[in-house]
Amino acid sequence: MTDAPAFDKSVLRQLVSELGAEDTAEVLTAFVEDTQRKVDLMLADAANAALIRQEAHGIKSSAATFGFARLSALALELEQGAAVVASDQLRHATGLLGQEFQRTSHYVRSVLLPSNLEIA
Amino acid sequence: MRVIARQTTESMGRLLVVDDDLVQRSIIGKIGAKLGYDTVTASSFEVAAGLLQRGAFDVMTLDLSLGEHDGVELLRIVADRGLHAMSIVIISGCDDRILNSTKRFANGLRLSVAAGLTKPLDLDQLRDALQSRRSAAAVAATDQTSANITPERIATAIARGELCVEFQPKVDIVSGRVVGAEALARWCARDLGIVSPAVFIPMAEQCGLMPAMTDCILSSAIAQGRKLIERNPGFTIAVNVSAALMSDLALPERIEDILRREQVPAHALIVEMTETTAMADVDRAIDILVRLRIKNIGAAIDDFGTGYSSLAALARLPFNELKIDQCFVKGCETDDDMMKIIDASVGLARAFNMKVVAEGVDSPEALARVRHAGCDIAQGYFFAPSLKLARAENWVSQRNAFVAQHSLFVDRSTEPNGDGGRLAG
Repeated sequence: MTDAPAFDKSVLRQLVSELGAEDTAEVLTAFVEDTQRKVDLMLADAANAALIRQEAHGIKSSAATFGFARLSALALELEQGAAVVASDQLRHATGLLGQEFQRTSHYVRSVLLPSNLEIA
Repeated sequence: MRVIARQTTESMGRLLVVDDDLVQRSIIGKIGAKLGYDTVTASSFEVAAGLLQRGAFDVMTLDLSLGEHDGVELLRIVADRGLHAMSIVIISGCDDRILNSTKRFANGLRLSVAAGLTKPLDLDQLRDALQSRRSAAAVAATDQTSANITPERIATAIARGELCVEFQPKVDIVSGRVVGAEALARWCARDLGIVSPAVFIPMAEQCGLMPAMTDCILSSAIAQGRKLIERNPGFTIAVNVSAALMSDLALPERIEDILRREQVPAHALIVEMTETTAMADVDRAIDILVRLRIKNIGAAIDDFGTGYSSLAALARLPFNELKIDQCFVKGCETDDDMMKIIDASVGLARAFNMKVVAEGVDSPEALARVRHAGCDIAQGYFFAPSLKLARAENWVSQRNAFVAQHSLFVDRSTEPNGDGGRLAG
């Protein structure tokens, strides 16, 4: 759970240059908290295809905004597949997304935010 | 709802950010504030609808997915409330076709769409879109002029001769020569200034003034266009004919009389009509169009693809020119859906042995696309806007002289990657 997520630093770098480090840190924190809430909802009701699709749609775009490429790609797969895959597959895929998010969240809290985003 | 104060001393206006995603909402709001907008964010359809009810905004960014609701519902509310001047940036995480269709829907509601952006947001595009809104003063001036136009004022304008024509050149895509011009109605009123045809033509149609207006424009176009026709072999003048005139069985003879009086050959005139006009009373339209064509007057189907009877009109009526509507051409370089319509339209026109005109060619990229699709003639701002007679005569003679002297240019212009054919001046 401590390995780094698939992450495109250049995307975060552009966001920092646009918003500044302080505001970027604020929205990055909001992203982690809001996505945690979404992931919790999804894991609690992992057979609910409509809910999975809706929450995955939001995670897909937000994750890509910060450069978290694998998290965004997993969310895209879930969004597109939620309505057509069997419920056990849906539960499995939601679990994978949850794991990738935990990696992302840990990385943000332990590496990115403490460095004042200078790593970007 | 959250208010984000602008970070500049001067205000750009009020920005409403509508997005159910906290992160996107925050980022857009912060960028808006940095640009100088007094920003309010709305996390739901209901909050946004309430804010639009209570206050005015200069710009709105709108995410299409809003939980149980969607952005299209909000666009309908914006149109119902008459907020046509508010600049709208549509944002979507869905596929491009949904975004493009929504932009067309909003344009159909006469809303001011500044841009359509896909998620994840390109921050440069977002900034450009937020900065590209029309000035509020310009919008207010247009609205004020519109309020003063009445049917009586239009009738007076026709009687006083305040209406005139301007000519928008039509350029042969292969040779680069100017081969014709569309005569467009213009109104410069002493008391109102320049009145947009988008204002006075719909009102004239509603009030039964189109026969008088079309006769006036037709006579003026033929009389003024005579020099262009005489100086440029094969040159044609195109004039729009309204639905009201297409029930008048004496129209071919009246047009012939005008041509005779002005000593202009019949083949130099093209009568343009929309498919909706032509199909309103199809038997009368066939009667009139067949006799126009027998008299060697050209007939073009205008705004092709925007009505409800395009294919029936093509099959039943003897048009010899098809004009692809500018809504398919504008932006075709980035919208593959529009290119499919253009390709299909060219195929149909070829099957009916018609010339194809692409309207609304505004960029070298659009010209390259319509050339590749096989269109014969292009018309649009890339070449020239509508021009007063003296400027039109000058522009056409300069361009055609240049083309005649530069045969190498002509050869290059036929190559797929060649220059668009734009000439200096």
